Amino acid sequence: MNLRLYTLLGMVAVLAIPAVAQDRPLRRPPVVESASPIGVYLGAKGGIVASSPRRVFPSIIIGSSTTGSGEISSAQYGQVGTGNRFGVELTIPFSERVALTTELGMLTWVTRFAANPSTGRPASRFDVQSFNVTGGIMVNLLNDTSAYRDAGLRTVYLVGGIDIGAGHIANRFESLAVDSATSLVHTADGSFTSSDPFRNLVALRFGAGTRYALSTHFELQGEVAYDYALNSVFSRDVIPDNDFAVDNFMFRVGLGYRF
Amino acid sequence: MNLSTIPSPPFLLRTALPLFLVSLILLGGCVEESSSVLTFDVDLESVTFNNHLHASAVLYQDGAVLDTIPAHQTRTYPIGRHGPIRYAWRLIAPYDRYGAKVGVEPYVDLGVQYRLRETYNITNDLPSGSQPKGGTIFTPIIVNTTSLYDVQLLVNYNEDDQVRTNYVIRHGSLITPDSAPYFYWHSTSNVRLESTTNSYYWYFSREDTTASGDPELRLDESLSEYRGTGRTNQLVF
Repeated sequence: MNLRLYTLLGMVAVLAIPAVAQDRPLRRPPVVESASPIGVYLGAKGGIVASSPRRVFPSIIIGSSTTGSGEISSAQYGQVGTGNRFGVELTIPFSERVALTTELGMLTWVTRFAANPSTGRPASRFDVQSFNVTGGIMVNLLNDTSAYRDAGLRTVYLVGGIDIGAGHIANRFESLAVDSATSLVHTADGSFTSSDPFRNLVALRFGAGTRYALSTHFELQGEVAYDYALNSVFSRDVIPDNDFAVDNFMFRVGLGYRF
Repeated sequence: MNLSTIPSPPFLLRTALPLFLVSLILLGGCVEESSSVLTFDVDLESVTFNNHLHASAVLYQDGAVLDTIPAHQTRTYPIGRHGPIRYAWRLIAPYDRYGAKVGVEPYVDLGVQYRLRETYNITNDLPSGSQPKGGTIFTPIIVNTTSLYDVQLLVNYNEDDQVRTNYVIRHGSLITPDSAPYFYWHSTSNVRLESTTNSYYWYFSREDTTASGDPELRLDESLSEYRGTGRTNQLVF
């Protein structure tokens, strides 16, 4: 008898639970929006490039000049020139510490050479603009996971990789020219009319940077990097035995979105 | 870090940072190229031309005629001097039975030579700076197997660039493969061959297909030596 009664009461209780539950809903925990420490980062960055020439710049003829500029030793006359670089960066983290980073962008580097009074060559400069692709590995020295829910310093990182000049866009050289009619020495400028003289520059990159969250998903970025050129600027099919190269130091800031 | 010291993110995101980045791009700007030509202070050694076309071409060096290169020929010229040397070529179109030119004669500027030993390929792909325009040109490979009908060539029939010619392909013959006429190739290019004696005609288009499913008219690159020639498949009738 008791068994039957208890069974009946039990069935009633089981059937009543949903009704009670509907009357008294459970309280949900508050939702806190947060970016992921291993979320993809997409951003734009830009800044200045300080370029330093290496080895010997070849002698170049500007227009109808009757003589070339003469070879220019970077060690003797080379100076730092200031250009710029802008790009779009995509960073894909493998973990909270390591990420793959890629960048597509525009690089303008400028090399300067002091005047050579003994030959009459004035101060000279060579500007080149190229489309660059960069790939590398980013390692977080500091990664504050608590900062992914709000503003604050998120990461301090080191980055290393390869920077490739994928396409030549424009160039300009300014130096000595000798007028073919009057033989007067003057300063002139000119440009190579195609990308034939240029190699696809490949550089080894080392850098460091930091990311600061402005809000949950938006990050401000500051980065310094050094590109050490692994090959020469000019093609050997064009100018044999010339190994003129350019190294670039970059300081850039950027803004990006962390998913 | 005290966040009250920086403006609110919406202000930064909407105004300050985008403006900063755009201004950097604008101020950084592009390298402004000069109209003067740069060359290296070294003697250029040679220049080679490979003519892939089914027609001869005139070669120009610094605006003056250098030579005429026949169809399918390769020629090399020594240089031995430095400075800017510019090359170009112009296709030589054949004549019809009344002495008029048939097809296009594009002028293609090859630019300044920079390599010490440069090789230029003369092909049916014309760069954008060509005169009168860039693009792809083609020559129809016509095989007239009829025993009665001489036909005259009409290209891109009912198109904006229709070309009606008096170029005749006689019965039992084919188009001259070493002095062929060229025309601009586009998505609706076609070839119409009209009998010179009656109203018969044969029509080949890129839209119609053969029994094998291929377009009736297509550029033939089935063999490596056909690439760059602009020849079509054989139009047999």
